[in-house]
Amino acid sequence: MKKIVFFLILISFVYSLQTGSIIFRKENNLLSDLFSQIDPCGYSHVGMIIIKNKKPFVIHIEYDKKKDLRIIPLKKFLKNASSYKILNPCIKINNSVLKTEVNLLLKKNIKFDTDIKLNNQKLYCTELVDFLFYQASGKHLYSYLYNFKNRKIITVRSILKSKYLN
Amino acid sequence: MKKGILSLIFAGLIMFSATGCGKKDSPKTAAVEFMNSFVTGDVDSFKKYSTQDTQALFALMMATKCSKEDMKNNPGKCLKLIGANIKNIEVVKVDKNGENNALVTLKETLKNGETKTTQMPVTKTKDGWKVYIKK
Repeated sequence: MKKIVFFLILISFVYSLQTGSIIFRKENNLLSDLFSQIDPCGYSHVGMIIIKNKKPFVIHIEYDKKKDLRIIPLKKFLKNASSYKILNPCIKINNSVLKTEVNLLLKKNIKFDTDIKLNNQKLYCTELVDFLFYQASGKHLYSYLYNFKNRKIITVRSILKSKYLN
Repeated sequence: MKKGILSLIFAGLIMFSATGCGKKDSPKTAAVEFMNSFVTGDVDSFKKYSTQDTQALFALMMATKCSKEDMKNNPGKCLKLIGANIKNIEVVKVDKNGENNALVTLKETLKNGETKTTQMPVTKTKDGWKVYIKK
């Protein structure tokens, strides 16, 4: 327990975590390996940091029989991570708008987009963080759209390379 | 009386041999059999030893490597495409996390001779232990 508290204090200090920071994750398993091979950058999943009562949480979406869109504690998000990276936004984020949008998405019970398509009623992980960032800043987070099986998708790498993160 | 005892012993032997032939329901079995399903293309094993969430995410990834026709008619071939580089799987350790969860660490030996460590979170369901991995 002490180790976990120390770990959270350390990363809070090192990364000056803030609402709107973006967290990238890689896990040490075959599925994570496969996802990280699409437009490779070393990470397979992404979420957005939300600070609630001075504690770091992550809003993210992935396929789950019970609930796809979740806000979970940062330590739970990183439970099986083999590597991770956190980048902070370098433009102003409207926290009030962000909070409203997060609550709206949770209320709608948005589903994980297994078709990996833009412009439908579902979201995949990078699409979720881009959507929230756009609502809160007016700027798209992705740096390019990647051509994947004859469709344009937002990849983890295109978020990692965003000019609005540092 | 003697017949009765012999019948009981015989029934016991049958039960013993029956359970001995089956695979033990454990975190280790679930992780190994799940990974082996990518080597052998055993779709039943893939389904038996993974949760529906895990199956759905793998189906998504298989669709990037496999044709629609093979996905529908020959899913075993698609599994083998994912596990094409795997030569052998060994269990390194099993860390139990409460009664219903465990993390199985596996050593994968690849066909080019390289080895790598993989971690398989497994969970106990009403149908036995199943791999429950996220991306």
